[in-house]
Amino acid sequence: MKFAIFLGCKIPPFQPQYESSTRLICNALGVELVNEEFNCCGYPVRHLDYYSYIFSAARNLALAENRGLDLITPCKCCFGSLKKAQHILRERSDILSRVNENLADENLEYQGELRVTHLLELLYHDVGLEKIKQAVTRPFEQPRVAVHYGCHALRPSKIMGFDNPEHPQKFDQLVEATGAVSVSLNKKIQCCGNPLWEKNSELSMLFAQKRINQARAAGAEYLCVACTYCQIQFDTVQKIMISEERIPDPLPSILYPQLLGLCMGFSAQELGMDSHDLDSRDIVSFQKVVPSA
Amino acid sequence: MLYTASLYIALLIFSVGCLWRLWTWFTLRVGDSAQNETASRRIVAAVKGILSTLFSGAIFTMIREFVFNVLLQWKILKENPLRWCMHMLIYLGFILLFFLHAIDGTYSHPFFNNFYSTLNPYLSLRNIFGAMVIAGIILAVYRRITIKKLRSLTSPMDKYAIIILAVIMLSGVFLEASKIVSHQSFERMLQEYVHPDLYISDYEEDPYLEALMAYWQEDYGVVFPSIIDVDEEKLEFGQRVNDEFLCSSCHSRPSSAFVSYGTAKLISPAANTLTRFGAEVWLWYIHFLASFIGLAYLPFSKFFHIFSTPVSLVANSVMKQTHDSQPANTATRRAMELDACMHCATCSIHCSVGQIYKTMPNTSILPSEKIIDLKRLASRKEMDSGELQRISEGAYICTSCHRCTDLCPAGINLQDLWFCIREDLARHGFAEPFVQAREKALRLTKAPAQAPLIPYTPEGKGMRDELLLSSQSNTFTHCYRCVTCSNECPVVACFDDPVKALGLLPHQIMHALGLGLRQETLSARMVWDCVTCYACQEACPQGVKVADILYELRNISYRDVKGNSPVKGVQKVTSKGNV
Repeated sequence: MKFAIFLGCKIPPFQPQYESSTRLICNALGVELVNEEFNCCGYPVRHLDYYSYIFSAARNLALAENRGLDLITPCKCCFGSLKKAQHILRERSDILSRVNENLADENLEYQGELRVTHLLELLYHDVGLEKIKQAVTRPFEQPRVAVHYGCHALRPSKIMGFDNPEHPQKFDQLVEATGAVSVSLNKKIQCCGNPLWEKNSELSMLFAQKRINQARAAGAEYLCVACTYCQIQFDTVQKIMISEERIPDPLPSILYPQLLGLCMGFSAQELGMDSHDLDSRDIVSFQKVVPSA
Repeated sequence: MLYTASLYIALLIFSVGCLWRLWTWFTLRVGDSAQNETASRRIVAAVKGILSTLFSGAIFTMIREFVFNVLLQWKILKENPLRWCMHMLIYLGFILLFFLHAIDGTYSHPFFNNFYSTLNPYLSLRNIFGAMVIAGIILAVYRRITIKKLRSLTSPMDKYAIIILAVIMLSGVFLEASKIVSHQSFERMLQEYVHPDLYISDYEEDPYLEALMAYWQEDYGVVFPSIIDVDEEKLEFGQRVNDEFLCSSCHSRPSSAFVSYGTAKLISPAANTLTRFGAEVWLWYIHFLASFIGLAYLPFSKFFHIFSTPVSLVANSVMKQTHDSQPANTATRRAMELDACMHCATCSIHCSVGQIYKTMPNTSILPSEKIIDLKRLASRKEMDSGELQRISEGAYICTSCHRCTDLCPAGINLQDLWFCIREDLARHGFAEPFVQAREKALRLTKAPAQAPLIPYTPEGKGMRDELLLSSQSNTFTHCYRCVTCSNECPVVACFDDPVKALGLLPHQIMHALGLGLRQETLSARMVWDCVTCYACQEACPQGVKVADILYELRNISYRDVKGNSPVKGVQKVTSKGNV
């Protein structure tokens, strides 16, 4: 399996641990990730100019296609952005031809052949739960984890096709493959609030507060996400919220490849768990002690 | 006379220019934290900072940075080996030429044994260095032409720099070539060093002279007015004369000056004409005047990076990137970084949002141009609101991906500067474009409640045409106001009295669009507090693209901010909503 990896703008400067942990587990699971110099997925500019968004996304799609690769991203917002653009380019031939006109001077053309996938989708469908369970050599002993799906993986479901938009199960199953308990939480499909950060930070934090409190009420000891922005919200923004006494104590958030990585035998340090704002490293205490051979 | 006068004038302009540039390092204020730092405080802090760094372990970091990134230019090599070749050729070639040629009359003799510019190894070295610079210039021009983005970003300043360099180099080569072929030079040297009454026209009466001339014609490339007959015996004799007259003690054979010698061979058919018109004299004028113009222009041009970039690289290697301990030094570092940019456009070529320049033709989106904007802002240039608006668009389209900063060969902390440009814009009253659009929309006056709706309906038809881009965005006409979208909306769920907080709820916006209430929809807080979670769109039983429509409403408002008409070049959606 070979994919072009699309990191988006925030992972390299702010969450290098998301990249490194993703690479570690992909490598161990036999997924080859190829680098390409992509541009922004277009999500941020979408508020200002729709066409600029579509063109940005399309250029990335064309770059991957040009190398004959499918595209994988660990970020749900990039995932949503790219898939949505792909959908629009399929539906609107006028926009497609304008995009290709703009790409022509770089000798690029978007044909619409490639598949855009998210890390979780890759793990669930391409690698498969069975193989993941086999790769888990140091399973957890039932830490209680609240999964947070991320809006743009689920909706609009006809475009994203990731999971059942109302009762998604795939992320829960992936978390449970590590031996953790995915707590029952019907708000796991709702928004983390990060898109409003710095636009209406008050409302943004209210969203985060709700999600954190609901997860805690469901008995969760950790949050688990697979999206750059959800992690920013539940890590960096949560820390700000704690300092402003909006929530009493931290409910640390772990990136899924870190959770899985720990169970595959990588150390918390290798997975970059020391670079979070809220420390989640104590989850290793839930790991079964593996009897020495 | 002209030489000395122009040299001193150039030196004067150069020194004043350098002092002025240095002064701006302590006076330009970039970002909020720099606003209260006076020049005197900054100078004192800089001196203290430099002294304390020099006598600490950080000196090794600085030396390491100097060796790797100033001398060897590791960062450029990593980014693009071809560009590294180009830069190394020009930079090494030019520096070596400067020491071994430009200042040879004054300074080279004490340092090198038996220094004569006309003797090897100096003669051939000069040509090697010259060839390096010329190859570098060719590569530079090639890159500026073939790399599309670079070509479109090449400013007059970049062109002047290349032109001046090219004129200096080519005039130098042709000058040397014209001297090689010049029989006048030959005669002058003969009269100066052998006998004042020797004339080359008398060669037929003087076998020594004839032999020498034959030898110089064959082996040194001189072109005499009439061709000297040559045979082996004469050449052998000529060589002996060459040694006897001590010509050879000062002149290596010019074939080792391979560039000029090749050029001399090229021009030799026209050599006599060139000599008659005094080519060697006017080429000399061109050569030194171009050099002095370059010298005088240096502090005002991108050439200044030969000083500012190394200083920036070394200073940045020891200063903490974002939270420098001394705000005064941070202010100085940022001002200096503005100068360290040599407009190589590496940042713009790799920029994560650089592609948006194609769809929103605003140069301020591109980092290499944004730094020029910032410089203008910091030097308090008069700017109208249109210009500031363009700058703010560029400043906020940036996604802070840090790629420019990682790649900048001058080691400029560009990301830090991009935060500063936002602060500077905020002081001018320019917020993030999203906020600008929101504030403009929220201020829109709504129709009085009792006013009849019908007058607005034609406007509503226009409104439908404005919603062009997203797939089926005028699906709002399918809405039958079942309120499912508003019930699903997590933003609505945040408020006890959502209508009061949000103006209109999603279903009301869809309905208002149908009625063509432009102001009412744009000024609804709901449009601006949407979290883009698509819960509304997912739930709509009628397939209305609620979230996409809200995006487009924000687009419309931003177009209002920019005073632009709807995006052209895209077909209108047919009235049925499907294409």
